[in-house]
Amino acid sequence: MHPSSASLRMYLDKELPEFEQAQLEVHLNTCSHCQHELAMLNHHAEETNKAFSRLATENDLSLDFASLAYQKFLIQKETTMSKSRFSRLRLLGFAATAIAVVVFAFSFAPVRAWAAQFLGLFRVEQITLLPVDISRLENVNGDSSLIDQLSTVMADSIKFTKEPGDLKTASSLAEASQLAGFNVRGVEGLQAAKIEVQDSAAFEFTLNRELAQSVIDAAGRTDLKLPESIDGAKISADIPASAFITIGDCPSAEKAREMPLGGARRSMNCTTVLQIPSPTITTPPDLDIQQLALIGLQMTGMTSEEASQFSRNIDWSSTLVIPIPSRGAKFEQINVDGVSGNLITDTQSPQPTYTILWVKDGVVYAVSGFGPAESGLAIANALK
Amino acid sequence: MKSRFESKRLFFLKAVSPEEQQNRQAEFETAFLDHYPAVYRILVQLTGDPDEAEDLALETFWRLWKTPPDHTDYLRGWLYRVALRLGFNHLRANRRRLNHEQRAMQQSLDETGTLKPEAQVEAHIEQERVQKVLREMPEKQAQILLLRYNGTSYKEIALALHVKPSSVGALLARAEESFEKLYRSGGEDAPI
Repeated sequence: MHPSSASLRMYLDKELPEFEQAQLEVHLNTCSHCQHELAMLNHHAEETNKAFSRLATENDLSLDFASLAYQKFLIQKETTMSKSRFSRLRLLGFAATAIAVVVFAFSFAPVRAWAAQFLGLFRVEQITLLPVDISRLENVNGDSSLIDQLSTVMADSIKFTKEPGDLKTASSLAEASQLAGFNVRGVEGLQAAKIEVQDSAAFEFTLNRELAQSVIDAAGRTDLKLPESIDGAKISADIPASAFITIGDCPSAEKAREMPLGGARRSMNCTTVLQIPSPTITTPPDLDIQQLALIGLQMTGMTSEEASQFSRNIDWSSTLVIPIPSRGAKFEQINVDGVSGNLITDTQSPQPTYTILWVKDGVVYAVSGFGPAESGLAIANALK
Repeated sequence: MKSRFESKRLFFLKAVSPEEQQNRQAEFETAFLDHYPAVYRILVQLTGDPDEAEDLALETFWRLWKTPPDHTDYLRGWLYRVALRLGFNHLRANRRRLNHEQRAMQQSLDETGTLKPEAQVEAHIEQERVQKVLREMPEKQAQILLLRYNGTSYKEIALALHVKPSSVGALLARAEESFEKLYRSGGEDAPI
């Protein structure tokens, strides 16, 4: 019997246990098939090694280099922490996970919202907030968060069928509406600092049950079993174009999205208005969204009974369920723009931050800023 | 050179006293100075841009400061994983802003706008070619190559990427085969 290519590759790097290394060597002396296989592996490894040696890096980065970087880090850390520990982007990311997904994450990065993958979310008509103990989600398995692990799991399975285009700046609401393909609403009486439009995108995502289950198991929930039938299921999403209006002294949307620490020089005088028509998500007809939703809800800490109860009150085909950290955030239902909406405020940062979320006429809105929520509410109610 | 394991429990707990704050700061500084060069190096290899690599490396350590792992036997693996994720996210976000020809052209000029010596230009083009392949490969495969060719052992790769140690050989073999095929076809057919 021939050893696997995995074993041969380990043999090449002397990574096999001593006994196995010796055994394999004996086998290779008489097996031309494996000799050929080994030669191929060696060839690939050598060519890769040669290519990598061309990547220009200094091998001996000095302690001075690291010390200088550390000083930069300290300066930027102070700048960031003096503003808000719970940055607007992070607040938006937690508070409006699916919105961040459909606009920021789907447009520029693989899916980050674990909740969204469990939703049979087709058209958003309303938003329901779900309190979640994020300490469980943030430090799973001693290192990266569950959300981050799921992102990694899903990263390889995403295929863009329509790549998001470049972010375009519009000089007026009319131009923005033309670019975006829907009526972009503006703030009456306030001159917007900048209006940016993100082109639409579409992607397909193929579920890998084994990998997704391994993340759930790693979170300690070996009792929750994903159905076998989800393996290979293809989910497609059409993300419409979106508009991002900034009022006041704000960093560019792209820079703020990429790097809250390194890139953004946020000012307290910045309010953002995000608007996007509801994305359309298509799942195979035999994909049991309800069952997946129950697993997702139990991952947030709900018991099986609580998850069932919660799920019974949700129309999964039209409700966007957004996980909100139960600690450090306060949320309430409010009236905004003539409909029922949600207000999330950060209760931990020295400077209050807020996000207001609502859906009106098939468009999802998010207004976010520093300071009292009343100012954001005034802006939200002034949208025309 | 293989990275060493770190077996001591990290003391990145929420500090309540000034002394604990100081201890936390000191531990963090040690970890930063120990690991920053390696994290920066891998990001430069991935992005080809020292400035972006610095931003991404600092962001990686910001994540460590904000949300440290409760316990890890291999902190550098954790840092690599975070850094590579940030790196790939960044590349996806910026893939249309600058195509490879433009990047190679930019890197052919020095600060005064004068063309660099030919050898240097060729070296830049070759680097771009490698980075292009890394961007085109499945992310997991690119990650394993970056780790392996930065001196990470199989056991460390397994810890960093959360895979079974016994599967690293197979993953690495597949990644190398993919890389070599893409590298060859990219060089023969496609402009850089």
